Amino acid sequence: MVVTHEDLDRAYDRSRVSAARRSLGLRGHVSLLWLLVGPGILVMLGENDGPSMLSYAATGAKFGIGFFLPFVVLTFVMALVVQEMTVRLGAATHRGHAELIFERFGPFWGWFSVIDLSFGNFLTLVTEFIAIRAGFGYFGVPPWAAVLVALVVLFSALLSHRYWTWERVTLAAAACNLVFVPVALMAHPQWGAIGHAMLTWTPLPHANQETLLILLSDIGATVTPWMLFFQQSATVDKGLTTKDIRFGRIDTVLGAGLAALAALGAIIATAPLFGHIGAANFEAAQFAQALEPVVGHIGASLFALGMIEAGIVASITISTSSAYAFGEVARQPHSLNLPVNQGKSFYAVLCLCAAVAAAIVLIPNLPLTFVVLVVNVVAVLAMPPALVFLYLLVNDPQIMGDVRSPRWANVLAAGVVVLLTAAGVLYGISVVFPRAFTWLGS
Amino acid sequence: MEETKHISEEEVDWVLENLERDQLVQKKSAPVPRRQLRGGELALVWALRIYLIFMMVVVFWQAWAAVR
Repeated sequence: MVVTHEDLDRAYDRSRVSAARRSLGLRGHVSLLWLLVGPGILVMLGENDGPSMLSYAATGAKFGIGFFLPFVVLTFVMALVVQEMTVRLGAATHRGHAELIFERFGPFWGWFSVIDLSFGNFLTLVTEFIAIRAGFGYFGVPPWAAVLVALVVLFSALLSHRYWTWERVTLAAAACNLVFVPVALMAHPQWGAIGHAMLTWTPLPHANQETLLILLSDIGATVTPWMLFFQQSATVDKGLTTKDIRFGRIDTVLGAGLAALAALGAIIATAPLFGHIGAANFEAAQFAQALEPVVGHIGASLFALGMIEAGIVASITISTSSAYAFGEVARQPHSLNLPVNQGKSFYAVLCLCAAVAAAIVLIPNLPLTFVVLVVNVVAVLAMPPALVFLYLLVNDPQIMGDVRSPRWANVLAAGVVVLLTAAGVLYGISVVFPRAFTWLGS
Repeated sequence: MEETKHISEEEVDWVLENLERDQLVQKKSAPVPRRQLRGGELALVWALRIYLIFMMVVVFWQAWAAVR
């Protein structure tokens, strides 16, 4: 039996889990939770990225407190349904998502999936650096310095060559996503209106193309293909087994809850701008400046810092998901437990994706607004094909054994696919036939 | 393999105690058996592929028009 250093590092992490499992009582459970959480929180807070937070900010500014508050919570429930399946798949098979599609369904479908992922990931990475640049811009930091700081943080997280350390460093950074909650409190929210909106889903927005774009953008801010690939690969790299699925679920629920809180925070924080700023103002610095009269300089600074954090954490998780997928399909070593000399291609892809995306946002006169506009929509459109493969894999008795999807999970997953496809089709109709929704009263 | 040179026998035993066999890098390099997509499944993945390509054209056309 050949054992590698990657195995050795993973065995060390697993030995701590086994020791915690042997401890009885609350202390043992807390210790287990501490050791086993990570991929779920990271994927959810990672998806609260630059374009997502801008989308939530645009939602608050354009529609105020109303339908979109409970709708955003619903999108996190959809994300939870989908991501739970990746936990089971990773724990049962110990294989990444790209690897399973490639091997189980063949290279033809495997390449389609990886091309979708790579294209979406690269567009999203560019928008992360746009958010970072804009966030730092609020403090007067020049763009080159802003992207350099982000790249230094990204590379620093990799220095330990240990999954555990990388995960904890990134989790600490991701926790700063909750900075949108104090900004929301500084905006003196109307709790009665928030409670009313959460219970009644009203006031409803007008049915028009702009509303559909924000709707799609908010869905794409929560459910995207990279999340499937990332959480499954991270679950495998962390070494979770079928015994850990319960804690993997708790991890994902915790992540969804924290991310939903931050998302609602961003909407509530920008709700006072309702009627004063257009949804087309997609620049983080513009939002922060517009918020100054409402939340003060400290609140606006926190908002800009939140944008920077969102961009940095997502650039780490998204470039990692690209590197995992590349390693899985190219059959190259792919783990954050690898020393650099054994994982050259893995680390090269990870760093190269981030560096090229960072360089692109420094090129003058590029139509970057174009990328910000399409990135979340592209994510929504790419989800149904990705979800069908996930659905087939989690229902495959040959690879899933006893942990294949129960009927209720399949019904929920099918519901998510139908909802995402319907949202995409509605959007398509509104573009091709711009007057199609005017009869609803735009 | 070069990377196994510095791992002692005791460490190998310890790794085998703490990891499931399927978690070992060597085991993971073995391919998962292929499965053919059935008629309905194949139709669905093709339908969604066509949907994705068509919608991408729509989105990029609209976003490009908006930016211009």
